[in-house]
Amino acid sequence: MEALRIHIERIVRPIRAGGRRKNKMREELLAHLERRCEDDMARGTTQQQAQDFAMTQLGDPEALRNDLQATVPFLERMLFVKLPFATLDSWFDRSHDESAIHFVLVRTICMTMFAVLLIALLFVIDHGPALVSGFAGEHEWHDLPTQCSSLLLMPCLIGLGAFIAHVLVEVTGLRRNLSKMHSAGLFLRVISLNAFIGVQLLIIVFGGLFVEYLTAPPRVAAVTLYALGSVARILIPAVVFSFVVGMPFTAWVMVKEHERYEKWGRLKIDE
Amino acid sequence: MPKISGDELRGHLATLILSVLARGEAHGYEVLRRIEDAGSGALELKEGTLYPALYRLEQSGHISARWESAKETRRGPRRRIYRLTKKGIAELDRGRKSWRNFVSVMDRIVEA
Repeated sequence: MEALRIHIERIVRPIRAGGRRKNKMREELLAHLERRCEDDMARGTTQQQAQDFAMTQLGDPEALRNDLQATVPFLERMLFVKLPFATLDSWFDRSHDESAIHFVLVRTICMTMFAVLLIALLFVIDHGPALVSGFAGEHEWHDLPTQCSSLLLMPCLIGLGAFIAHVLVEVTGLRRNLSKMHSAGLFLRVISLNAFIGVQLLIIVFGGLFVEYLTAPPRVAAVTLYALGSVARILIPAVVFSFVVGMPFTAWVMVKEHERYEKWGRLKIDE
Repeated sequence: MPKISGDELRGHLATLILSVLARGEAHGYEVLRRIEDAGSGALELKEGTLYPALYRLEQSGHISARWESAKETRRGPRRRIYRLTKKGIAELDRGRKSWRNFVSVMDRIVEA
């Protein structure tokens, strides 16, 4: 019945939806096709004929895929849009043909750009309304160039933090060991991957804070500390929550799903 | 008997599904069998179209679904058992009225 699985996988795999929903579709369609085959074989057709007939009766794969896609809620569809760059897993797994320098630089640049966006957002939230409405005090206009320069300094520090974190990970062989953990238990792998992300975020935030505290003049340091503190205020509860609740739960769900649907993931289909 | 294609059934599939589920809970394949049996083989439904329709009905609360229990499970993949909800019963009622209205209007035009 491998042919049936491949046929279903061709339909379901490209659908933009969560794993649970897609697994439901897979299992249900497979149960349907197997039952159809059993009925036809009971009437005397060969297994091959029964499989071909069952797949034909299911209808045009592309039309069915579109119909199934349309049943996925909008928000879920958006969450699973295929991004032009790597998925989270490959983000932390360097491919064989990628050099360590390229790996570290690309991720550092991405982290820096992310920091620029985040800090710009924080700046707009803190000062935007006052500046736009014209109610900004004299000192706010006066401080603006200083604040902007210190805010621009922060992405550089965060980028430096990301760079150091990635270099450390490369030098210590932590990433290489994580990649090897494919053979280890999935639970352990998910936990380690999450821990790796969490530790990296903490290194970036506290590394940036420390470097800034040591080097910057007091006034710039105060503004930078404030903005980094804002990032940390969001980041630290998120990381703690992820460690305590999110990570064990995610790992448990992934292990359960993986056990049941391992075979589907291994199927080779022409996408 | 002349065949009725899937295109002609479009728009009525939900009512067809609700009607056969009114006879009792069933999994997807069984729903299809009931529709085919009731249509005496005249309905040519692409089987895949059934599942998106079932998912839409489930999302709108007209039917509910559960995976079959270990006792009910045969060898092979699990099946999902669908059953009509109270909201589904009301929807079926509306669907039947709408169908009767459609047939009576069509009758008056076509048979005139």
